[in-house]
Amino acid sequence: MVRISGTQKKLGVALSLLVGFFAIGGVLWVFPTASNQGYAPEQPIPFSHKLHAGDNKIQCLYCHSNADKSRHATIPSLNVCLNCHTVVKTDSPYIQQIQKAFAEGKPIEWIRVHELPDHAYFTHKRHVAAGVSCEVCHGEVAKMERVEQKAPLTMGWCMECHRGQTTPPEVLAKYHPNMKNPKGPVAPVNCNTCHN
Amino acid sequence: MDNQHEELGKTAPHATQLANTSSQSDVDFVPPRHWIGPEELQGSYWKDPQVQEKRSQEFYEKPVEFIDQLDRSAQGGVARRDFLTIMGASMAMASFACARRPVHKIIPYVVKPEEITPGVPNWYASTCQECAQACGVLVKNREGRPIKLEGNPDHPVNRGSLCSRGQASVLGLYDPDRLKSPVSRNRLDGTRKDVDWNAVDASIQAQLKKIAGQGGRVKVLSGEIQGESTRRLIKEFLSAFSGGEHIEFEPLALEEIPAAQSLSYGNSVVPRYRFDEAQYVLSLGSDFLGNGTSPLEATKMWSERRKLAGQNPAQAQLGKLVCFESMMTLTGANADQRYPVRPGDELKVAMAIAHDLIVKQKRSRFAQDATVLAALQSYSPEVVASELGLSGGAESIRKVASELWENQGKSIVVAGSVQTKTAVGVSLQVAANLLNSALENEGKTVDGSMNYSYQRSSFAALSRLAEEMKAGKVDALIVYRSNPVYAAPKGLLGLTDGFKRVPLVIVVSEHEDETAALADYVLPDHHFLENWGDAHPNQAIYSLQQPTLAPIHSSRAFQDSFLVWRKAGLAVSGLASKALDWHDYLQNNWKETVYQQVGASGSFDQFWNGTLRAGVVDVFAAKGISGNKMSPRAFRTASLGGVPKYSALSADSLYLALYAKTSLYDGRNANNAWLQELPDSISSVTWDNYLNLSPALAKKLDFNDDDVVEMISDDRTVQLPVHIQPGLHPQLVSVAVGYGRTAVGRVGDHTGVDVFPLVQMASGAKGAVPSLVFAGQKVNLRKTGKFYKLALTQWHTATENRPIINDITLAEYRKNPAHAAHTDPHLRLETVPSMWSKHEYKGYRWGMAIDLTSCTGCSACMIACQAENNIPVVGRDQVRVSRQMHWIKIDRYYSGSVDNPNVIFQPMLCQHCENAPCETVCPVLATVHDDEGLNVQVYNRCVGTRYCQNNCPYKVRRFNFFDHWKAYEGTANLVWNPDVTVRTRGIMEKCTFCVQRIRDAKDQAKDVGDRVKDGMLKTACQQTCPADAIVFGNLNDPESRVSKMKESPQAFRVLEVLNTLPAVSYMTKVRNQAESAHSGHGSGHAE
Repeated sequence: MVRISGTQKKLGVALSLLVGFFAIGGVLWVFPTASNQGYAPEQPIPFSHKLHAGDNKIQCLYCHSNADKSRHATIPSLNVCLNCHTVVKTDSPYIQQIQKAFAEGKPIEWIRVHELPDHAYFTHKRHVAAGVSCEVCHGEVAKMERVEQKAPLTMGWCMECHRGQTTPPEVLAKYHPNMKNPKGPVAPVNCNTCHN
Repeated sequence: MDNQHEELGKTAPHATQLANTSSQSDVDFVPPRHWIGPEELQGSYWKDPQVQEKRSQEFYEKPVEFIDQLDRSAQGGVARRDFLTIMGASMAMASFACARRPVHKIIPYVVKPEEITPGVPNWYASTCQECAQACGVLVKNREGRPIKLEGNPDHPVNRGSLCSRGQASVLGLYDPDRLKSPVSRNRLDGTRKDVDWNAVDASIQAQLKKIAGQGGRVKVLSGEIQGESTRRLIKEFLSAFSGGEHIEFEPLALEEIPAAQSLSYGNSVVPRYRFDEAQYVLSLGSDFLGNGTSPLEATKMWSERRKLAGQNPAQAQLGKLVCFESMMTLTGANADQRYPVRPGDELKVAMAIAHDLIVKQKRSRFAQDATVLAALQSYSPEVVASELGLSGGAESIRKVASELWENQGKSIVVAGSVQTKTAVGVSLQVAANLLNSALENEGKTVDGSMNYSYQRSSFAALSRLAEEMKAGKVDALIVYRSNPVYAAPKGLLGLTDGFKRVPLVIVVSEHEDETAALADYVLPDHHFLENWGDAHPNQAIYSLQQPTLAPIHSSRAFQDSFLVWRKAGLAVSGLASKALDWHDYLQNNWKETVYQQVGASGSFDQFWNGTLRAGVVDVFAAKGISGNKMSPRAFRTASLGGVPKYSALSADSLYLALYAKTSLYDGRNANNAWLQELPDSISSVTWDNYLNLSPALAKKLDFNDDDVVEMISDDRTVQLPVHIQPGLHPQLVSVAVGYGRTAVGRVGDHTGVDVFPLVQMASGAKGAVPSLVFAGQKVNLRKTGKFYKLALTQWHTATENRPIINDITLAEYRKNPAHAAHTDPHLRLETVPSMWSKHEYKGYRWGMAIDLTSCTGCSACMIACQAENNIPVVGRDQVRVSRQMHWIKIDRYYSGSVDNPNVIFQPMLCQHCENAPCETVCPVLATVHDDEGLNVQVYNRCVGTRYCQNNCPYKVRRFNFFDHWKAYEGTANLVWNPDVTVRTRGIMEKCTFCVQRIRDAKDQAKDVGDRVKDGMLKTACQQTCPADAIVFGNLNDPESRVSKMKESPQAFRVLEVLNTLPAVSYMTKVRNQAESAHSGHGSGHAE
């Protein structure tokens, strides 16, 4: 066994700290924020929002039916898909995949695109109630073949909107009709607004 | 006085300088000195250099050496410094690993249940089955799993409150040590194997069929059954056997109450005590607030008479509570006057009071009754007082007697608890009955018509069963929710031998417990949150219990087992012969009984669905019977015949009192870590039981805290650590039962010492009903020289002798209510200039008021907070080094003499100061003020400097030294509240005023375009409080309850002189005492 002297130990610690410092610096250089912007993973079924929400103009809330009721917008359960797809395009292998999963009682495991850290308690319900349209945060989903994270979804990005810098004009008009070029917060900016 | 001032100067020089500006002339009231432990009263404790050094270090217990030890053992020899070295190298790798986000999945339902919206809780009304009290609960479900229980506000028993055991039951549901599938045991070689239900059922069915065919005897032994439906099902099932019998037994049931009621009044009931109607309560060893017949209902009613809010101070009225008791109980701690006595002395006190009233004063309807006079003759107050050494002598007894007489018809004499189950337990109850009848309380405050109908426990039946088992007269025994091998006096009954002689033993239990080790089959039972059921707590009330989640394990309702087994062709009677399953049975039984009794106008389905939603039906209210139509029952003086003549106890012997803690009770919840870590209200010890001794006895025997002592009672010996407890009689030693289990799970096994073997059987007269004796045994103590450190929390966050609490007498309060708010006459807020500009609160400003007069210290709030806010359990060793994580704690202080102190409880939580000392020292702004007055802690910013903890004068901040959440294994992880972040190692946390509940309330108010109204929003601690001592609300609304309480003369804020401006106000404890609470005991002020 190789014996390690005290000095070697200290050097080792110093060296590892140094390496760690540069490594963190390097990572931050390449990825300036913790954002996952641009993330567009392949899904188990290539569901097209362009086809459903764009071409066929199905309302967002038809499928994401809890966005105005709960913190979570929720991904629709399989029976919602089958509301239409028991008759529509039943020859598609993907629809058959859904029908099979439904018959077997096995849910589809979708890949999560928009994700906030566990300590952030964002609520869809209040934003929908305030009149913030889905596109403000999710981008033009109706034009997306595969869903992509358009907005950075970082805390700074949230704050810009709550502070009035990027607030959608229609929301601003609703809550602060007399406010021109808002200087102060237009929505709560306390830590515990989002963090419990 | 001056000395105290000087002492304060040492700890808070800033405060003293400022305070000097206050004029001495308005100092005409000296608050009592409050102390934590008896050592504080010895000489100049706080000036002792050693003490000062200990108090000045960051932790009361120095953790370094201790934790190094722990670290080495826990992490396989890696100590702190090596750990840091390794950390350095791994940092580089760790930072690369963070660059890629983990892929998370979203898995929707296949078919979403209509009533479930992910993220929105569902509430189900049910009934708690943790004890026989049958409180209504509302179960908060998220995505199909219960995460929190709250009292059902519409339930007449608990009216919205819930005790610590009820709050903790949700952790019991997710206990990873629960029995997961049926077990078949070979009793010859002790081997066991998991089997499936079909195999078990086939085998049991065949055996039961054979027994039924041979006219065999089948016995069901159960704990007390709350509901009539289960009881009926058992009866009907047993009708298939010629020798069927159902025995109910609870080891801690107060069987002497119905026994004495039967003797005195001719009906075997447990009366309902109307504490809300009683101005004066005399407790003779009854812990009605902690472990009585219905503690939550009693606390609710009793605390109604302990509210000064809204009363004109000059004419303020307060109920009075006087206690004669051995062990210091929750009730005794709340008494306005308490007298420590030995076990068994309670009877003498009762008889002496009756003697003074009836024999001396010739009062009451019994003044001419020869039988009564004869029975009381030997108990003169002088003789009793001198034997008991009561402070105040016979005068104290005469005073109680005259006060009782003044409150005729509006007083209660209540007796009996586990620690009064002596050989004269029944006589004590008879004496209490005599007093209640003599004082005309019977039929007014003591309601014999509204009895608690669940009390069916019978030790006599159990001992008869034991005899039959030993004689081989039992062919099959089914044990359900009962653990006689642990909790019944096995040595006396020979139960272990008895079990061996029963050919078929089936144990139905949630755990593979001590009794299960003697069974052929151990069948996992549903937790009550997984099962249907009902309860019938008193004659008016039927309460429903419904499943709130699908069974987690392969368990089955005990009741369903009967309905499966009957299919073997057993000739069961009634509903049991045709019910499809337990749910069907329950519905049909209700259709035949409760539905008929209520006489509801709609269909049964309407009635059933309505009751299911409400959780409870009040038969009297449904029939339009309002108020109580009690009528006094005639006292049978002949019942006094069984009361022994006065005889003195030995003045040299030591007497034992076994008692039950409000948390662990009889040990059934021993595997519940929340309850194990809940500090005892009085002693503040966690995780263990211990020998309570008075300071005088400890001095005499030269025992110190944590000495391990051997206690010898007859031929039995146990070894326990010593805890010196002020306020005990010097001839008393007391120990809690419910510890030292051996087969309950990883948390409860071998935690503490099992003292059930010290329980004895009463050696009464021939043919007398056998009963259990928990108290009054003579014991001897012997020092072993060993040492065991109890995990005691009382000193951990002590406030360096700063005056942080106040209590005054009712007389003083009436005279000058302003004195109530003075924790220290030198320290006045109005004299303190502020360095800071005030915060502006445009919308809400949240605040809390806590009424110390009605707070009983029951600690239910601590567990409610733990469940709501994901507070982890840290374990015994971490508590020993003051790392417990409770956000709210119940601080207990004493005042007065060490032999019989006054007790005061102070719930202490984050004070949400306006000028918060923690905020100014945080280098990373992890703790900041929000615009609604909350002091918020931002976990993701915190780097763990712990400066805030050091600078907090209230010691309410908790630091995560470890990833405590990792201790939650398997199913236990389901208990987390998804609305609250689970904290990791290295960050600080503290009370948030339940910010997630505030957000929910605002969300609901916004939905209807409104603001949060007063009373709409309750914090978890407030919601569960049985005494309604905690009020939370908007301080910006002058009409809110909390604003009004804040402005009352009773209100004070802790350490006001520091100018922290807390958002929490305390209502000073007012004791219903005429003379000064702290006169006579000069110990008050540091010498």
